[in-house]
Amino acid sequence: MTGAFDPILIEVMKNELTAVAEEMGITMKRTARSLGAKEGSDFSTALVDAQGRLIAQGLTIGVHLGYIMGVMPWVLKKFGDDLHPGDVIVSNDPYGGVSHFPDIVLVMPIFWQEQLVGFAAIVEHHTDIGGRFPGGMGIACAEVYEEGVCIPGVKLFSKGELNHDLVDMIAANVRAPEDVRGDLDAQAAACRRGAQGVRDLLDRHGLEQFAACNEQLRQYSERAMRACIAAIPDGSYACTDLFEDDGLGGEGVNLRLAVTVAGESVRVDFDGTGPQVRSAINVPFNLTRACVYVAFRSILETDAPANSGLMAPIQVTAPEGCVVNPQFPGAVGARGMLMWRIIDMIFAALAQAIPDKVYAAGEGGANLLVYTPQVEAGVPSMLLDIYTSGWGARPDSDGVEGVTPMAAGGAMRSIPAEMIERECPVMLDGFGFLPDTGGPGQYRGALSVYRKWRFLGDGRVMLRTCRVKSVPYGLAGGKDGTPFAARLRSGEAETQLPSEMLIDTEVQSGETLLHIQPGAGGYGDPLARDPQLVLDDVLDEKISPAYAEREYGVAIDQSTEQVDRNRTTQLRATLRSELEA
Amino acid sequence: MRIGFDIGGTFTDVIVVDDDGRLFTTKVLSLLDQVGEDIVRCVHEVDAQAQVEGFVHGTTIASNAVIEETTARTGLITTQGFRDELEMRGQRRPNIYDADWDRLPPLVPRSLRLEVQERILGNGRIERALNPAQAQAVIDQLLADGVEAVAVCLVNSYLNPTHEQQLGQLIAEVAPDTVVCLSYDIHPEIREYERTSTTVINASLIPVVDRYLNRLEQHLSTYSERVLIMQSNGGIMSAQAARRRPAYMIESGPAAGVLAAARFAQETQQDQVLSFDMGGTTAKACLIENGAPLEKPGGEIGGGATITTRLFGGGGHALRVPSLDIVEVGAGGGSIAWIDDGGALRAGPQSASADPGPACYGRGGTEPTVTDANVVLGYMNPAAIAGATLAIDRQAAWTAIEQKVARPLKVEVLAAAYGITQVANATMMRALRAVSTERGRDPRDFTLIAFGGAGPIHAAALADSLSMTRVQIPLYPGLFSALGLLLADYRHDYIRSVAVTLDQLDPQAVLRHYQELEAQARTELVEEGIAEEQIRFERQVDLKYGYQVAELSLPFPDVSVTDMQDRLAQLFTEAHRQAFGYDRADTIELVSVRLQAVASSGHLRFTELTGAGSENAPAPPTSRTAYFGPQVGECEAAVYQRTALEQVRSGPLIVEEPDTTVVVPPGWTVQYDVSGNLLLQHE
Repeated sequence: MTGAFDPILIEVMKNELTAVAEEMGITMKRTARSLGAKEGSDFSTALVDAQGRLIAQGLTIGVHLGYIMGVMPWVLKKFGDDLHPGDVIVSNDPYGGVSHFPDIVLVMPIFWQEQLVGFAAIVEHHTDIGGRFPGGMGIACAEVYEEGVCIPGVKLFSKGELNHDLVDMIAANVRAPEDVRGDLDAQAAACRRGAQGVRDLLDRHGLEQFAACNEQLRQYSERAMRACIAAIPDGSYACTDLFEDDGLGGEGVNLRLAVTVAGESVRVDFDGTGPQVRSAINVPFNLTRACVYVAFRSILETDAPANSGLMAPIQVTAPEGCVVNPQFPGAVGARGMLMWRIIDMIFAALAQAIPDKVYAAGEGGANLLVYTPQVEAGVPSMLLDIYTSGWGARPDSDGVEGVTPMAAGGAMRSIPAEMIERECPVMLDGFGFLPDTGGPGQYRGALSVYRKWRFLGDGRVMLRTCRVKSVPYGLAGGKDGTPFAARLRSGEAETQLPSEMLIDTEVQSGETLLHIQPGAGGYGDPLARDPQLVLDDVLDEKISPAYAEREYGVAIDQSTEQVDRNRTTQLRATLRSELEA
Repeated sequence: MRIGFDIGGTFTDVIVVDDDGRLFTTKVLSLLDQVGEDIVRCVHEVDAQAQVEGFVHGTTIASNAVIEETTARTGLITTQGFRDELEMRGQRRPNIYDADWDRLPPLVPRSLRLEVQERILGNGRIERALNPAQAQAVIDQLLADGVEAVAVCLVNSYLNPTHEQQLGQLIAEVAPDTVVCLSYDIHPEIREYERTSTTVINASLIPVVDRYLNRLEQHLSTYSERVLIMQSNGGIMSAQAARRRPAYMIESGPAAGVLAAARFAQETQQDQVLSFDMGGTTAKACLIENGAPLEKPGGEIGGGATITTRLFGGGGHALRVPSLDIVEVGAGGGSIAWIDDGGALRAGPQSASADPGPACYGRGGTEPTVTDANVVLGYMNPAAIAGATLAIDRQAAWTAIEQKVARPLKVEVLAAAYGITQVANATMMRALRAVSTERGRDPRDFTLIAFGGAGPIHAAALADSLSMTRVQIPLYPGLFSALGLLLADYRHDYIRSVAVTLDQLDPQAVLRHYQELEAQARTELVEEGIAEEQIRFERQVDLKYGYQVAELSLPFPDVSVTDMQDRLAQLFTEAHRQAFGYDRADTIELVSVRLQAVASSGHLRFTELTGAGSENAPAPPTSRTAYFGPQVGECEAAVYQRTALEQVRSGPLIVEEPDTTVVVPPGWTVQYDVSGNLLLQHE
C-alpha cells in the first residue's frame, strides 16, 4: 500500500495494534505481584512509533493517556543513538515527563530487521517508592527529595541484561520491595510481549504498510477530534474554583482556566491559577495536559483510536511556577488530589457552551487508603487500596452509584475483600451504600459509598479524600451531595478524624476505620422528581420513607407500597411554599 | 433413533436421525406451551413405533430469562457489610468515556439482599461463628418476601463452606421447597463478587428451568425419559444436571451451532473459519481455528452485545462458567425495523419473535421485520417457506414496510426494504469483526460458514463488506444448530481447590483428588447412561507463583509420586518462561486440580448424513424478480434447488431449501460440492 486508503486494512491494523497493547495489559495483570496491578488494574500500556508518537494504547486508566507521550521526548533525547535490541528504559521522574514517583514507566525499543520501528511502553502505579510517607503520596512534603526514590530515565536492561544493582538499589529504598521487584519483572514481560506483537505485525504487513496505516490512523483520529471541537460554538469559556486548601491547612488555592474554541482547534490556558505550593498537591504539567486530553476525549462520541492525532488540535498552556506547572524541585506526590478538579473544571467551562453535557459533581476523584503494618519478620505487606463513590446526577438521569469517576477508569476496579485478606493483615468489614445520602434532585446524586477496614496489626494509615471542604455541588436546583467523614473505632471508643484531604495516623491492632466518601450532587428540583422514582428508591432501601417526605415531598403508603398521591400533593405544596417564603 | 431440537427465539428446529443414519428434519414455531407436543408429533410422523434413544436439547430459556429479567424472585444472603457488592460489580464499567452509561440493575434488588453475622478469615479459619438466631430472622424475612430461591455467598467461603452449609440446612428445615444455591458448590473460587454473581444467576434460574423441563419431559416421555441439554462449553449434560446447574446452559443454543461448524471445519480440513449463525432474534459469530472454537473461562451476561475490550467489565452480570467464546448481537430475521427519534432507520434489538412473528407470517404481526424486507426484496419465496409448511403473505410484508418505514422516510418500498437489510447487516458486521479483526485476525484469510434460518440470506453481502471471498453453506443450514446437538460429546468439567505451595505438597493427596473427581465423573456419566469404558479423562493442573492471581493450566504429567514436586516445578517454570519470557526463584503454588470428563455420544459424521428424499431429481429452476440495491436495481434471479448446482453458476441467483434460502448476489458464484455443501465465491 502506498498511501491509498484501504478501509479494511486500516480497520484490521487499528484493531491489531489495540490487541497488542491489550495483550501487554493482560500479561501485566497475569504476572504482577502488587494487588493494585493484578486486581486494581492501575496501569496502562502503549505502543509508540520510532519518532515517539503514540500509535495505540491498551487503556485502563484515562489519565495515563498523557504519560507515555510525556516521557518519550526525554527517552529519545537521552538515548536517541544508544538504543539496542533488548534495552529497557525505566523512569519515574515527574520532571522528566512522568507524574509522581510511584508511577514507574518502562519503555522498550522495538527492532525489526535491525531497524528501530517503535517502542512498547507501560506505566504502573507501584505500592511504594520510599520517602517520608508510605505510598509516596504524602501531602506534607515541600520538595521531591522527600518523596522517595527518583529514577531519572536509566537503562533497566541493556541488550537484554538486567541491571541487578539498579533493582537492588530501588528495592532497598522502598517499603514493599517484593511488590516493586515483582511488578518491574511483570512490566518488562509486558514490554517484551508488546515488542513481539509489533514484530509479528510487521512480518505480516511490512514496514511501509505499517507506517502508512499509522499515518492514516493518526489523521483519522485528528479528523474526529477536530470535528468534535468544531461542534462546540466558538468562544472563550472560563472557570474558576477555590481548591480545598494549600495542602497544609492554609488558604485555598485559586484555580482558573479558560477554554478557547476557535473553529477546529482549542486552547486551554491556566492563566490566573495560583503559584505552586509548599506541599505535594502540585500537578506536573505533563499530567495537567493529560487531564485536558481526557476531558476532551470524554466528549468525543466516536471510538477513534487513542493516538497522537487525537491531541493535535488541543493546545495547553500554564504559567511556569503555578500549581499546575510547578518548577523543580516542588513536591508532587499528592497531585491526585488536585488532578481530578482540573477535569471537573474543564467540564464546568464547557458547560457554558454545551449545557446538555454537564453533570453535578461526583465524589471528587479516586479516594484511597495506604496501610503499612509494622514489619514482622521482614515481610512487609502494605495495602494500597483505591475505590470510589459515585457520579453526580445528569441532566436526564441519576448519577451511577459506586463506580469509577466519569473521566477516569474503565478497567480499574476496587480490590475484592478476599484478595486483600489473603495477602495483607487487614480485613474488610464492609463496602456499600449509605442510605439517605447523595444530593436530592429531579435526578438524584449517587449515594455515598463507605469502606470499612479492621487492622490486624499495629501500623500506619494514610487516608485520602478529594472533596473535603467543598461538598460535591448540585446543579440546576439540585441539592449538594453529602460530606465526607472518617471514624476510627477502638473497642467501644470512636474518634472522629479531622476533615483533611490526607489523614496520616497510627493505628493499633483490632481498630476499625470507617471511610464515608462524599455523596454526589443532585440535578434539578427535588420536588419535580417523579414520585415513582422516589418510591423505587424507598423500596430498594436507598432512601427512607421519612427522607422521601422531607426531601422530595413524597408520601408512601406503607401497607400498599404505593405513592400516596393526595398526601404527596399536599406535602409538595407545603415544601414549595416554605421554599418561597 | 436420536432426536435433537433447538428452541430458538422464533422457530424450533427438530432433527431426527434413525438407526440407519437417515435424517428427517422439520421446523415448528417456538410456542413454549406446546413445543414438546409438537416434537412428539414430528417423531410420530417419522415412525410411530420408533425406539428413541434420547432427546438432545439446545435452548435459550436460561439466557432469555436473565436478559428479559424474568428469573425467579431470588434472595441473597451475604456476610455483614457485603450486600451491595452484587450491585457495584467491583465498581467497573464497560466504557472508559461514556457519560451516558447506566448500570444494568442487579438480579436481586437491594431489599432482598440481606446480611448475616459471621466471619471466615482469609486463611479459612472461622473468626466468628454464624449467629443462628439472626440468620433465622434473615431467612424468615426472605421467605416472607416471597422468594422462590436463595443464593448464599459468604466472604472467604471458597476456603471454608461451613457457614454456607449451615445456612443451607436452616433454610431446608423451614422451607424445604425453596431453592438454595451455595457459592461453594457453584464456583468455589476467590473473588466474592464474581462468585456471588454466578451463584445468584444459578439460583434465580433453577425454578425457571425446572418448570420448563418438567413440562417438556412430560410431553417427551411418550418416547423417552432421556433428555440431554447442551451446555455453554459445547458438551452435553443430563436434564437432572441442568436443573442443578442451569448457569452452565446460558449459551446452550449458540454453542450447538458453533460445535457443528467446528466439526464441519474438522471434517473438511479447514483451519481458519468464522462461524456465522443468524436466527430470529440475534446473530452470533465465533472464531474456529484448527477445528477448535475459542473458549473462555467465564464472562458476563445481560450487558447487551458481548463485544467489549478484554480488560474492561461491569456491563453485565459476571458469570464464571466455562463457555465457547461467542459474540452475539441483537439482529435477526425477526428484528423489528423502526425509526428513531433522530429520524434514522434502525433494526432490532426488539424482535417480533414467534408470536406474532413477522408481518408476512400472517399471524397478526404488523411491525416490519428483517424477514419482511427479505420477502419484499424477492430473496425469500413470496408464497411459502419452511418446506411449504409456512404460508407467506408478501402483501402483508409490503404493507408493514410501506406504512412503518417507507412513508415516514419518504422513500420507495423497495429502497426501504433494502435499507432495513443494510442496517441489520451493519450490526451483524460488528459480531464478525469482534471475532476476527478485534482478535488480530484478518477476515480475508477465513472462510465464513453461514447457517441459521436467515444466515445464508445475508452471508454473501456480509462477506462482501469484510472483503471475504469464500462462504460455505453446509447441508441443513437452517437446522445446523440442532444437528450440532447430535454431534456433541458429553462433557463435564470438575475443579477442586488445593491452594498449597509445591514445597508443602502431598503428592498422594493430589493423586487422590484426581481419583475422587474421576469417581464422581464416572458416577455422574454412568447415571447419564454412558458406558464406563467410553469415558475419557483429561487431567489438568493450575499452577502459579504464590503471589500471582492468574494461573497457568497445564496438562498433569504422568509422574511417580517421588518426582511430582520437581516435575511440576519444572513444567511451570518452562511454561511461565514460554508465556511471559521470564521466570523467578519464587514459591510456586498448586492452585487447583481440574478434570475434564468426555464421552462420545455416537459417531455421526456430516459425510454420512443422508437427507430423506434427497435421492429425488431436483425440480427444474424457476425465477423471480429480486432487488439488489440502487446500483443493480431489480433483476430476474434464477431459483434453484441445491442439488441442481453441480456446475459453477454466477449470481444473481437464489437457492431455495426446505429450511432456508441462500442468496447469491451479483458478483458471486455458487457451486454444490461432493459433500453436499454450497461454496459461494467472490468473482
